[in-house]
Amino acid sequence: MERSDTELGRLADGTLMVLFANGDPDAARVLTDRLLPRAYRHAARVLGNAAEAEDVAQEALLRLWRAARTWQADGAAKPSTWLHKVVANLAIDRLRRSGRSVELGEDDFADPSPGAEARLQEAGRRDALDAALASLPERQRQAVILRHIEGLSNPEIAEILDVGVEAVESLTARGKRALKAALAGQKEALGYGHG
Amino acid sequence: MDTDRQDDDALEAMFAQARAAGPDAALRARVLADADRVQAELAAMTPAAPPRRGWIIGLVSAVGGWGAASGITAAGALGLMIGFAVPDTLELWLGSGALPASLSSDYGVTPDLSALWVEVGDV
Repeated sequence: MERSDTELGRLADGTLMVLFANGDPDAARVLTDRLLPRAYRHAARVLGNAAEAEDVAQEALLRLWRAARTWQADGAAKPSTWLHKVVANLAIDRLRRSGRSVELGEDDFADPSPGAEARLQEAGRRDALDAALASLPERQRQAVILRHIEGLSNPEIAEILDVGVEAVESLTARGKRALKAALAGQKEALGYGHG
Repeated sequence: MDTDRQDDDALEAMFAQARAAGPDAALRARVLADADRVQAELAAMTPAAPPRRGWIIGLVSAVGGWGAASGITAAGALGLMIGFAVPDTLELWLGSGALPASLSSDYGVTPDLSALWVEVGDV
């Protein structure tokens, strides 16, 4: 099993997709460990809601499994890019259906464990970031998340958002400026007051 | 400038915190359960086919193996050759006059066999 993990760990996502479609029992586990955190983080930051982010991430992965049958291992599409695209669309659909495509609804990232001021401050920072992200237009929000949190390249983001690379550069730059402006008044409260 | 740098640092720290967030074990388990279900569906859609032998192999084994197939093939080829050669060449092999003249007559395909019933003295 250990040997199998090592071997599978070296394979590209597209190859693992083909192995999954051919019935390999471990391919799904490796792909899930690689891709689920990315899908979840993307959804969580766009939606600002943990439960909804879980639903979106699970649905996106389900669609990925179903796409495995026709996946081309050497095709142009990367599973991670494909997945982010699905997450982006599912999240935007949810935001639009709930009428909060710009503003953030009630956040439910509150840490259930008691005490620990540090954790509260951490939760406060996360909430503040989510609130600031939620104030951005949809594409800016997606571009900033994919660039600065998921670390994707501009061409990858362009593919996910169906826009040109120059547009991505503009979206991320404007989005980051807007985030800084939105958070400027909260630096003290968030513990960033003194450098 | 200093404030701008502080803002960048603060934002980057928040991004780093967001990068550290991840799904819990329950979500991972649900995703893997979905994967198992879909994998089972895919397996059902493409049932494991018996090893394909090819139609030639199947035909050969049906007639008794390669030995029998060779004999059948040789007999078929000989029959075909005789069919094309009759009657002119066959007459050459058997000797002149072995066949009635009408067998090698004009058409050579449907010989006139009436000569076989004609006896000397008949009208």
